[in-house]
Amino acid sequence: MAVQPKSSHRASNRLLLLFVALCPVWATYTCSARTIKIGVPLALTGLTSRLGVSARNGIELAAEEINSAGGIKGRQLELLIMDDGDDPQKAVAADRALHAAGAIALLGHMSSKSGQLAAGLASELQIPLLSPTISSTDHSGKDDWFFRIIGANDKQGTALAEWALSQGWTRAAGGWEQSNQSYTRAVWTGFETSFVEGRGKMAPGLSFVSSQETSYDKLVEEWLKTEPDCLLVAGSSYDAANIAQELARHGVSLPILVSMWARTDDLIVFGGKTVEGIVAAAGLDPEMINPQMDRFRDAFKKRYGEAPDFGAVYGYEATMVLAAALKSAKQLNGPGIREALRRLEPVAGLQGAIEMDQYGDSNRPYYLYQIRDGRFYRME
Amino acid sequence: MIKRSLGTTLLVSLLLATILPLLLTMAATLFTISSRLQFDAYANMRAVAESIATVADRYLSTPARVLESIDTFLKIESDHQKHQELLLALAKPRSDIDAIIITDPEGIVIHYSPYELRHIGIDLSGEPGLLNAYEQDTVIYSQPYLAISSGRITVSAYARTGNEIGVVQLNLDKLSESIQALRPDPEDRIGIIDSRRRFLAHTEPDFVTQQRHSQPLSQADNAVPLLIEDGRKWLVAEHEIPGTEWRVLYYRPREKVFAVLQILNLNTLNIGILALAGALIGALWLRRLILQPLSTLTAKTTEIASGQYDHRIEGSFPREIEAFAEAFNSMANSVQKRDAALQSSEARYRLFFTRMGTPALLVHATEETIIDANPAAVHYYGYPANGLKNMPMGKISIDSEKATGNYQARHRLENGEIRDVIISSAPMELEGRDYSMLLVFDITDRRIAEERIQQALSEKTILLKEVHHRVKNNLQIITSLLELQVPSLHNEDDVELFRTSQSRIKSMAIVHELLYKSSDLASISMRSYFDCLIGEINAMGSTTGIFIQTKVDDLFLPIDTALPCGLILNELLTNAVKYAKKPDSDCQVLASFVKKDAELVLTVKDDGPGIPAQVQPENSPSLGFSLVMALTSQLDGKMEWKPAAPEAAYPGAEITISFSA
Repeated sequence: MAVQPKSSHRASNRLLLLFVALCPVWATYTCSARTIKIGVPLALTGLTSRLGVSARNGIELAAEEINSAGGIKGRQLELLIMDDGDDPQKAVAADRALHAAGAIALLGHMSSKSGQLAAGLASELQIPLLSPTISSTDHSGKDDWFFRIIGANDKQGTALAEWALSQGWTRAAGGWEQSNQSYTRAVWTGFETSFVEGRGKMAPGLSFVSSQETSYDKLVEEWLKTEPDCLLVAGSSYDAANIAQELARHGVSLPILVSMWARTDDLIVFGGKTVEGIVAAAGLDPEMINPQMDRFRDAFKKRYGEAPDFGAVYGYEATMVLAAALKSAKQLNGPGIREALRRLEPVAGLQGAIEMDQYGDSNRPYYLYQIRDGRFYRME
Repeated sequence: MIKRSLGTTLLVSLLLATILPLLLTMAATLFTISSRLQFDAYANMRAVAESIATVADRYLSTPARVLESIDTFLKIESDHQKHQELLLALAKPRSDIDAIIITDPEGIVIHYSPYELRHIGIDLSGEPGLLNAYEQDTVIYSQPYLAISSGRITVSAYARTGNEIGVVQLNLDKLSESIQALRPDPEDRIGIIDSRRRFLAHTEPDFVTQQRHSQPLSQADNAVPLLIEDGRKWLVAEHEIPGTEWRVLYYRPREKVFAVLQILNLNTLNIGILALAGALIGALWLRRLILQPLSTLTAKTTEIASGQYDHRIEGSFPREIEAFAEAFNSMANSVQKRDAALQSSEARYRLFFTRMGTPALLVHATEETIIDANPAAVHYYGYPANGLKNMPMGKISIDSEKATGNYQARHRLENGEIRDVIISSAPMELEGRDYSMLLVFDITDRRIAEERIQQALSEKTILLKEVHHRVKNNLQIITSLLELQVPSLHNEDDVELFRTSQSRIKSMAIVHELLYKSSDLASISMRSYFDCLIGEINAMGSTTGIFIQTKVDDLFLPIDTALPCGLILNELLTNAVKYAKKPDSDCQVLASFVKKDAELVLTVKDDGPGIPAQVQPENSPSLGFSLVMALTSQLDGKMEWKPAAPEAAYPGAEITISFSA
């Protein structure tokens, strides 16, 4: 009878045991080695890039904190950042490129014009798009792949109109930026509706484009002909600053009301003293004092050497919302993340809970801010 | 404890012995080369960064020179038009300057070159640092910012020029372009960052236009700073630009810096793999050389362990293993012989156990469970074969069993019958456990027979006692009848005859009385008998003045011997009372019955006048002496008498009867 030496059996068994024991280790290693790729399409260049740059920094900081804490389900977040040029066509191209690069969710597009086509493409590619600041009402109430953590923009116009009326102003003029009109028109309409309802009179609105070629002096001259009590500029910080500069050059002191798009630190850099007194409608307050904001501001200053503006706050919060969805998603792919976003419980943000309805819309409030001594102050 | 496999241990040991020194040598070599390589690479990088900083310094010093020229000119020339012409002249030939601007102290543009009307009069007070320049004597550089006038990311240099503020906006694209050529390798990157670590120039222009910040640095190998950018690891050398808060970052792909090391690593790995393969083959060969004989030994050992004692190790082995195999075979021979003897012994004892007619049980001492039972036990208790195995003793034993020795107990059979048994229990130890071997002897029938015998004996005893009682009563009646006859006698001799007869009858009656009162019907205590007899003689009233002393050993004699002894004593005492009485003093009589050697000696002596010389007891016509003689003969004894001896304690008559005990 042939007898197999027992030592050989034991050696084989040990090798098998070693292999079995190493399988989970290998699986864990390969799993942790694979990153979760998040596409971050933002306007990083051009005259209206300030919002995108701020948001990128906020997103970057949040991702670094998440990764330092161990990532999501043991995997690190990898941000694929791409410039969308603040242009609808470039935005779509960026989204396609990011999707092709392996992104399973898109976190970005700060202006409504960049999200104009991107929302449709997200549905086509079945990749959820979470925007920090796209507030156009075009996306409201749609069961699509678009999500946002900011309220609809028509409320900005309403808030500004109510404040103008409260100042006793009855005549208003102004205009909207043409390339981003899905956003700016909503602001304009919101303002016009509320202002007229408050027995104010609106001069016909003039459209313009954020560009160095735009003759802001002619715009100002047209508006001044209507002898308005105030101007509504539904445009970028570049537009608002140039209009303020032209008013100053004309020697006219006229209250200017701007939408959130213009509420960036660039407005003060561009406008200098001419933008003093401008009132802006915006959501989150980067100066708010609370423990979460204090910690965020400190971390941001340490990382970037400057205080965060509201774009950074929105970018940071949007990343936390997406991270919460990634944690709760049953499958880390487009449909899985979309389902998680739709079912997401309120997420603790820097300035209160962030909640989205079944259509991925948020109902967060807007506040009014005024520039005084080269700084934005929130108005009561 | 985990037991290591000899084969694995051998394999690992051989591999370690051959590979470990090689690996250590290779690791030390690699470490030395790697450290030197990093040191040299980082030193080179720092040198490059320093040279880049020098170039950047020259580039950044341009605005200061321009602003100095403007200041000088404005102080000597007050014509507005000429101011504009100067600015044009200064800005036009320079591609490194975007614009030269003069503002009033409030930041309102007075001159703008290249001239555009739309820029005149605009407020630049919001540009970072501009208003501070009016109060200071040095050139101030702004952070990178998006300029409203150019729509581009720029850095401005501000200085007070006369009563205005001079502004020089640098062309950062040109700065980025100029540092492109400074790269030693096209894959290298160079960046210039401000105090916030934001890029104001970079070999990748997007870093500036997209307003990116440098990624945080971490410490890599040998404390060389490292950062991760665009998914790659870069070794970074920093150098400050003199007079500014700006720094030059020169970074190279880590894998490129260590490309040589990687090749070295690869070659080392290849050598290591080859060495490992060689060592593995050698180790496997050695392992086979040693383990194959061991496998054969193991197999044969297993065969022998399984009882195949006739198997032996055969084959060709190395010398050391061969010697071991011979020793092993020798051991196997011994084991085989011992096993045969053991089997024979075991068979004998098994046969003894199984064939033994006495039921035998092997019981676990502590668990009190039957481990084995022989067929006789199985048959005795009536259980099926193996039915007794593992059965608790309590199921068959009614009484608690003792551990050792012989003891009586009651056991229950399978049919419920209770049997009396005697257990012979012997403790034993097998394989480290305590057992008891119980031999079971059924004594139920014997007990019943004994009970019957005992009952019969008891009945016989009662009967005998009754006989003795009746004999005694009859003798008592006879005595009483004689007593009734006494008053009718007129002759004293007749009365004497009656009294003597009564005395003789009573001496016999006492024997029967003692017998039926005794628990032993076979013998009576002679001391009690003699005491009763002397008491009876005294009661007859003829012993006045006579004191009878006794000296009787505590002897028990059967009735056949006791009765003649009693009659003899009665006769001798009667004679003594009759003939030894003294008219003037008391008479002392001693009756003794002792055992001397193998003889029983009955002596009666007194201090009377003694037996007259003419009297010969053997020839005496006296009935008393005749009776004594006859009874002595019945006892196969002999009678002796002594004449009077005046010096003796009892100087009178002395008659001795002796017979074999």
